[in-house]
Amino acid sequence: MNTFRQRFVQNKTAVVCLIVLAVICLAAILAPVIAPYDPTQMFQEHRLEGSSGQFLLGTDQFGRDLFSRIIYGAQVSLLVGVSSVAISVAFGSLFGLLAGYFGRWIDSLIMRVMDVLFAFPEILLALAIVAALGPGMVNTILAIGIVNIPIFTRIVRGAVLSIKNLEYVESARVIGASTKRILFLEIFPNASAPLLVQASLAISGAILTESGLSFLGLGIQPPDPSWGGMISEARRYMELAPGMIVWPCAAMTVTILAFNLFGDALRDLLDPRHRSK
Amino acid sequence: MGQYILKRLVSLIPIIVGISILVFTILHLVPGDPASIMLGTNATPEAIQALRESMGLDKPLITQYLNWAGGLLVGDFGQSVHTGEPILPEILKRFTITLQLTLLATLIGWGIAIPIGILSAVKVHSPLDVIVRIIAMLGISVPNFAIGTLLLLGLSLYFGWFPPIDVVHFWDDPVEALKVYILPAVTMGIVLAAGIMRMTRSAFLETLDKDFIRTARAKGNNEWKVVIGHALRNSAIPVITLAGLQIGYLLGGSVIVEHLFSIPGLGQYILDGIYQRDYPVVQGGVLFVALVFVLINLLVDIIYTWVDPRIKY
Amino acid sequence: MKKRFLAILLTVGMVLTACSGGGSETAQTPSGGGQEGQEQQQEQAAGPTELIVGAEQDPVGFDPHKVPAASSVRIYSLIYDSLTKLDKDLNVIPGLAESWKVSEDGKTIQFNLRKGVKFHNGREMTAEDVKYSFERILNPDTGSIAKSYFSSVDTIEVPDPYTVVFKLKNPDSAFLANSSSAYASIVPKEVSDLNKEAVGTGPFMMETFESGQYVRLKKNPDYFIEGQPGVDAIKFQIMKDEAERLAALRAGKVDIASVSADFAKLLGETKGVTVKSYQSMEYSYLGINVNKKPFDDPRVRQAISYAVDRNAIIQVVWKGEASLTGPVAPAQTAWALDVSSYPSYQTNIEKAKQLLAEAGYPNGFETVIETASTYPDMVETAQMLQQQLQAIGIKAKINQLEWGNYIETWKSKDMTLLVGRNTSGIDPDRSLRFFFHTNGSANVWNYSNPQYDQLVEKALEATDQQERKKLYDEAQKMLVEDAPNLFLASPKNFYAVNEKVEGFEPTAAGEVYALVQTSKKN
Repeated sequence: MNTFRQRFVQNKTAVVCLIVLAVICLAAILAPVIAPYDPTQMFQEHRLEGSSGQFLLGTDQFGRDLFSRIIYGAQVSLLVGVSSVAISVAFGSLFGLLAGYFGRWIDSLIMRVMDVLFAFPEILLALAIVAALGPGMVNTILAIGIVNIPIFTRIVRGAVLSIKNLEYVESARVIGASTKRILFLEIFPNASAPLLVQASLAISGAILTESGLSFLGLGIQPPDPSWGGMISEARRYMELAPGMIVWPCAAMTVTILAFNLFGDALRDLLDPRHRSK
Repeated sequence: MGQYILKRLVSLIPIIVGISILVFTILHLVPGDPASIMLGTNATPEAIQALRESMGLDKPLITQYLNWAGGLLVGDFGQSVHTGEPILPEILKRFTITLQLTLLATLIGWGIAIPIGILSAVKVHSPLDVIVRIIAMLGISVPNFAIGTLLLLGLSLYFGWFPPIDVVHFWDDPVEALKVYILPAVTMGIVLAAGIMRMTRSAFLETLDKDFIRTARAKGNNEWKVVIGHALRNSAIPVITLAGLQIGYLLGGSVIVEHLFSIPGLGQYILDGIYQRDYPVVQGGVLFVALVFVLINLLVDIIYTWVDPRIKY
Repeated sequence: MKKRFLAILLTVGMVLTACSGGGSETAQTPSGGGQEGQEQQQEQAAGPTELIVGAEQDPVGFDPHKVPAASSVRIYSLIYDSLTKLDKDLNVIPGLAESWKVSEDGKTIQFNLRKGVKFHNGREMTAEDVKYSFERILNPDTGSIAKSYFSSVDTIEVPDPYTVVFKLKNPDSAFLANSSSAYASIVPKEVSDLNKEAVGTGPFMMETFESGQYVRLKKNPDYFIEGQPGVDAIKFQIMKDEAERLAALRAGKVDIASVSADFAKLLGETKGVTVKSYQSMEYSYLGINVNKKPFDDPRVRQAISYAVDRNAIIQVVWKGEASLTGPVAPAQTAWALDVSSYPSYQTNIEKAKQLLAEAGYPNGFETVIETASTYPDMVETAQMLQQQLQAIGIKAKINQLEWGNYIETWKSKDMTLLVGRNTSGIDPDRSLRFFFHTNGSANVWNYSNPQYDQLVEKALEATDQQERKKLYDEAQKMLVEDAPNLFLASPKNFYAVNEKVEGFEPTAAGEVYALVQTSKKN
């Protein structure tokens, strides 16, 4: 593990991304402390202003502080990203473990169901689910979470298949360890590396999907600040207050970029083929 | 080969059945009564009852599904609640539009990505390579609706250019059609290109590292001859895989782009269905896209065997 | 390798050609118009002129008696005529009726119809059609929006094909004004479903309707007013996004579009585009279902009225280009009351909280505000109300509805809170009786106050203007006090117009009258 840490520290991309992500996460968590204003508070006499000492990034059409809204928007984005991926990872891992370990009809059943889920373009399935459940934060999280289950199922199943007949698993079985124990304590930790990489990428995907849904008016509902919703509203005001569209776009791009690059770097670090080089 | 295709087609049947069950389930296990959701929470009880009867919603779920699926088999996707018109003809009409958009986006995406990806791999670690990688990474990190918004509004604001309002088919008037589709296609193409570029680059890097390439180089072949002659074919598999997946992205991603550019394609049809709570339309539209997606993946698989004879089934 | 890529494209292309059959289908044509229009267009050497209007919303039907949605009205009022109409100064002038005579006691109105007016299907319009139309409106099964306009009608007589006599139960001082409404369009007897077939006598005929894309109307060559309309066709291009309408307008792809005040300022400086504005008779409102708890308690409604800062809404949503309004829009200068006479127009959070506490909700409650998703002013108004109501503990969720669902919700009489826009109309009878009388066709709020009903009925029968005014003053005050609606702001309307367009002068009388006189340089 020590060597991993050393290699990690040497990987500049990984370190920079981790720092950026840490800053974004902190900002999101500490939003009530950092944000100068309530994100829904309207300063009517300051509509559509540019950057100033009073409003760091300017204001929107209601005179709401863009900086505060973007910080609270980070909270929403990260919350949706992380919770939806948590759902996907939890169910994906469970299904993957079951399918990989038990094989036979359990495997076929689970994988056929996953094939079906895979047959839908992500955003479309999410749209259909949200259409049925209705818009809102919880439903958005659920929809995106469900959509991503098959990816994690496949990854975990693949990892299980590649190690389940290895010696240490065999020996655990021989000592009479329970199936549950073997699954979660022996096999699962070994699937965690690719899982981690995929999770990082999936969070960025989830944030994109959420912003897309919100952009279409089907995700997070106003007045809750969501980057996608902010961009959607900003279209009308692009000329009058370019900041309204520029800043949320920038915030989103940086966040997604950080998750993507971090995932990539992590893959390089964890991938045994790369390790050998 | 023929046998393989047949086998694959047969194996698709359970998937397709599964897809139809899933689509049906999603839109029917909605908390609450679908009829009252479709008509809005405020509709009169009589209107709700009427719709319930006309759509067979008063029957058990399994009967409803069988009725619907039975209709699908003979090409009856049901009627739109909103317009009363049959759904399938509208889906086909809209799909031709989405497909033209998707194809143009693919052309643009590949046209940009493959040469640049190869170049980036050949000149690995050069400044060019670094710039390309950064741009590619940005390309997959910027939401497509942001790119689209900036393109559409920026062009009209600074250059007074705006795409024609009415959709034209390429086979009717290619020039006008190009004007209609170019902006949304570029919007989708950029995201597409970013992914393909990354994949092309890494596939080529891997191939260029292989022994047979070294041999070819050692024989004193010109570098480009090595790339085009030997590496291209061997790098095609991952790129084609990605292309298959991306068609799914395009068909799904076109929802947002069509909405943004007011293109009356299939995505817009589904989206209007969602806004209008016209569930038969949503159901039919989503099912149709999933079917197309599955078929295209099958085509891609078949193309594998053709491109790479080493793959045996 | 290139061959392989080509192969993928080809296979995808095969799917394309397989479906292209659907693409060549022609657009659905709901009219019975015929093809003369197209032939005529080809004959004209200068080329036909087509006016393109950027419309913010899909029409939701074309039956003038049944569909109240503004997106539909603007279209069917070009297809149909009514007995009377308004000129730009809001005077009632002849429409299909050439002249009329009101009896001494005010209980008989005789209309003399214009002769030789033809429906778009070629048949002459006669008094029988007028009778049929009004009977259709008055028939409760039709569910007509104009029914309460004509509740004073007792019988309709047709002494000859060009004369219609309305016998009234009581004098009706708003009858002539109400007969100019597009809701009172004269429709042909023989058409059974007016949503499918739009056949009127008006300046334009229905040509094509592509749901979600456009509605194209072509000129009625036989229109009874010489020289109208000024263009060969009007196309309502549906562009729900305002930014997009603006961009299209700038690039000259759209000739006329209504825009918000923010954009009016921007466009004022754009070359090739002029901005026209007028003080509308519209007002935005927060509608309250007075049957639903907790809004059945007038104190709760008053509390909301005190909590809302109408001036802030005018500043933010309408960019200052709107006036405070009561139930009668201030543009109706003869009837509208000065808003300072309404105590609840002063924002007073303390008073609002106190009223809520008295009603038993000291900590407020949760509720829902519904509104139409594609009208930005409504969405923004809803957001402002949401924010302002928070101050007295009312937590409102905003539910943005698609236009068709929004109209259905409005009609259902079962909404909770609804943000929308009304047109006051030229006679206060519309503003007050149509929207708030117990039997008013547009009283979707379940508001029922016998005292109020009596007032507006008396005012309708009163022939003395002074007396009418007094009664309506009292009614307006009562309405604001009872607050079944909060009247928020009466905006100025802005149109951006391409320089090729001539003669488009929109006024409070409505868009139709301006469009009919509009011409366009090619």
